[in-house]
Amino acid sequence: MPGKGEVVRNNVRRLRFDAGEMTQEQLGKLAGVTRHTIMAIEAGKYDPSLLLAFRIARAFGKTVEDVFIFDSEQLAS
Amino acid sequence: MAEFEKYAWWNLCVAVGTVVLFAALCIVTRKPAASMAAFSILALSGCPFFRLRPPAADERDREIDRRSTTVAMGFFWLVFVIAGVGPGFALGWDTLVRVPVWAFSQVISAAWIVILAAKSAASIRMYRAG
Repeated sequence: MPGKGEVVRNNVRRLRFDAGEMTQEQLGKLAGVTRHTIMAIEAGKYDPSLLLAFRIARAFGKTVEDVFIFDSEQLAS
Repeated sequence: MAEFEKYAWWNLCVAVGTVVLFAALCIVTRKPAASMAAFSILALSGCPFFRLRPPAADERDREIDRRSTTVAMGFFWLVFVIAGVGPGFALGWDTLVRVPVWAFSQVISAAWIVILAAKSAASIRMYRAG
């Protein structure tokens, strides 16, 4: 869980549409989670585990850092 | 709505329904011992899990389950402490009281209702919050 002043953003929604408008259900199946968990991740309400982050990145053929962005100054600025 | 959020709603309805039915039976029959029949519907809290292919919990479901259990046990502990020391302060620590067997049995069911309702309510809130 991020600490104070730390935010984990993600590009999951954009990457889904870049991947031929992949649905949340399809991404969930590839990553081994439910559609609701993908929804929560996209909304920034849930920070996935490292394992799930790797699975999602692999589903898009990207690295974890292409999908998830750790921003430690967003709230501080 | 996630499958496990539906389960939480189901369990909350079972807990509230049990209390409502018990109160209604107490009013109608005026016999708390007979009204204990209401607690039999607490068994319905297990129904969602009696499916041939129950849904698999993912990491978010497990995280919410863990956190809501912590909240429920914390709330139960608070109730437990208040119920444990409350009568002593209210009636005096050396007071003798006679408790019927049905009241003793109801305490067990009431404890389960508190845990079930608190865990369900916490789960629903956590699913809504993300």
